[in-house]
Amino acid sequence: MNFIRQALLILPFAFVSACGGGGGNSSPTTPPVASNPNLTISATPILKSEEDALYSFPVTVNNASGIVQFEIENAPAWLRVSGTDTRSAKVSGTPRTDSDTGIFSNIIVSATDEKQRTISLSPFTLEVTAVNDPPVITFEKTSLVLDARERFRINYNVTDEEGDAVELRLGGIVNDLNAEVTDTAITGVARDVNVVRSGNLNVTLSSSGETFDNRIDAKIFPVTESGNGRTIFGRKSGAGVNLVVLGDGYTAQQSDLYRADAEDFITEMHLDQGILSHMSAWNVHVVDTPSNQSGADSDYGTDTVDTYFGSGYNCANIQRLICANRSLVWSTALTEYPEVDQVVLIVNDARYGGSGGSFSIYARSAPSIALHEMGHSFADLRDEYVDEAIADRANSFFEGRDSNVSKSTNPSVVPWSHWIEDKNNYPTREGDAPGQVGVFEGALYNASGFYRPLGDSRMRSNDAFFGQVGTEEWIEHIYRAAGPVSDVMPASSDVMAAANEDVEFSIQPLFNLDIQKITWSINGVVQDGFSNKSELVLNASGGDYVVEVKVEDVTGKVRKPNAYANYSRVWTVALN
Amino acid sequence: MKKLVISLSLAVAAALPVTAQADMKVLVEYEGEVHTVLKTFNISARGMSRQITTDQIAAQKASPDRVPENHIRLSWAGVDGASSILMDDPRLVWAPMGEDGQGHGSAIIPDKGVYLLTLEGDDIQLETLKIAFPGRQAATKINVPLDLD
Repeated sequence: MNFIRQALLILPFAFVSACGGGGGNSSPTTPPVASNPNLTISATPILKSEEDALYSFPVTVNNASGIVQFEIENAPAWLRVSGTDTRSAKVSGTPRTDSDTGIFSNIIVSATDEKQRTISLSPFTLEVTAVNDPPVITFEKTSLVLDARERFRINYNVTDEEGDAVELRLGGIVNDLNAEVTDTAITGVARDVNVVRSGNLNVTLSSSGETFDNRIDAKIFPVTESGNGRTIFGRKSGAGVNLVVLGDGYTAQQSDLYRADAEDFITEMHLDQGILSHMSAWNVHVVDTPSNQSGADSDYGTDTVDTYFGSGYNCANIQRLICANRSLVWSTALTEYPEVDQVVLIVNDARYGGSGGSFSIYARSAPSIALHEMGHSFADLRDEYVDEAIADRANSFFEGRDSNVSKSTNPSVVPWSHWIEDKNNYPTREGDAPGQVGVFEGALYNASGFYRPLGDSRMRSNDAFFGQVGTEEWIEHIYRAAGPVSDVMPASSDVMAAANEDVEFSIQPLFNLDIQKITWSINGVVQDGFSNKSELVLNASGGDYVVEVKVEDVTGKVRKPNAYANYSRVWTVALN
Repeated sequence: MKKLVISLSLAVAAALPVTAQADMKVLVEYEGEVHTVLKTFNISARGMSRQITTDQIAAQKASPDRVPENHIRLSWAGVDGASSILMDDPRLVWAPMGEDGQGHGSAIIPDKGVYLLTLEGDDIQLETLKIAFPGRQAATKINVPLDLD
């Protein structure tokens, strides 16, 4: 509601001059000339303004001697004059409240130079109109981070300068929060979500027919029945690949650090541009396993630091090798998440170290260790670096076992041949055509006799990306672990139904349609109108039909014939 | 959401085979030569859409009869038949690459521990489970308790 208290118009322009110190005259006159160096002041005062709007106009003084001092009289408290240089000033301020508004008469702006000559603008009257301020709400906290089933309370305070009645309404993810409003607080209990849920709790204030929106950021994390397991990315159960990130050497007071480190590992995965596109398949969980002390043992087996999993360096006399109680690691992960596919254990210690194998361990400062090790344990990739000390480990190699190592130099024979665009022109030396797949000598710890697809990759050095071949394997193993579709109906391949009645078929791909394409066909004829539709309804006359749906990865990152990534389902339909 | 409906009057039938798959995860505890299944988990909901190609089956068969170093051959039998797979030894622990470019170093095999196996198959009802290690004539039988939950 806007209202004007009064209107008054005073001088729109003022220009005056003074000839002597202390004798301020204020009659408008013409500008001074060089032969008559009278002190002059000029400005165009703004005569109307409104609450909450910046009020400002410049003032200029001519023919002054030395630095000029400015003053303002009869002005409201919010209005000031301040010099911007030796000869000019700005009259400015912002009326903030109703008490700052009204009519302010006989405002005089004066300037005095170093000869004590004073000059003033003609007095003017300023009219400031009050506006109806929106109600203001302050929250005890502006974000909610909740576990599923967790109760919350946010105290709030609403003020309205005009004392108007104010009504609060909740929106946004209010249902996920089961949120309610009382006179002093917003309370609720987070829904038992299966997927990490983030959004806004919208708090709308209504007053005098106007609405004002406020937001509280909210995030809900799914938790297991015990309350010890928490999903921090993706789903608690159902479709996807399940990664359990455990922590050791984090005390109860360091639970936020553990959680932040686990989230840093998710970030590390996101930073690899190859596997980034398929990140939504991952479900990442953490489990509360507080340790009595921070850090890790310096010598595995010699218990000097009391931690939950008993992690320690110098395992098997290798300083950087961290070992832990493997039985406890697996049982902890499986107890909370029986569908676990991969386990990573973060050790809260600054010293470099970790280990690979059926699960990965890394010291918190080195998450790239775990991603390299998951290249082995999850994607079945082999090392591509050279280490002659263990070159004999390549003795177990047989051609066809590995997607990223070969003994062949033939670009048409190597397992990654489908990534070599031109079989007559491809890179073979490190530094040639960076990022382009070729045949590079040196892999599986041997400088010669074994070949790899890229000059550098994550399986060769920790700080590189997986590259095309490693990424393809990674993605294939996502589909292998999770399946390319999360739901398909009908479950039976043989369908019997009545003629001329709807028969519904549906498919739920693992990813969004920018990753996977859906194609339906009936009796071998592709149904273009149903492209990328998750549902097809057949309504046909009596007879036998074959309905097929295909789901394919369309990112271009999976090139080899791949039944794990590509899916088809056929129904034999008899309509009678 | 409005449903799209397609109407047909032609009638042709040609069913194609579909092989739906469900996995089993097996938690095994070992101490020395004694391996015992601690727990099994059927992951029936997730593997439903997997379809093994003839290429992948051929790749499995192409693996050598001899078990290479650092590998095992896992064999299992259920009510629906037998399967086997060559895989990395799940007991192995590797050092990470070093900050100065060192490699993993030699693997170690702890004297005792726990490992997790994933058996890919359709509603496996596990009866026997064996591991063949490199350089050994006979496979090690993994104890499968009758009262697994």
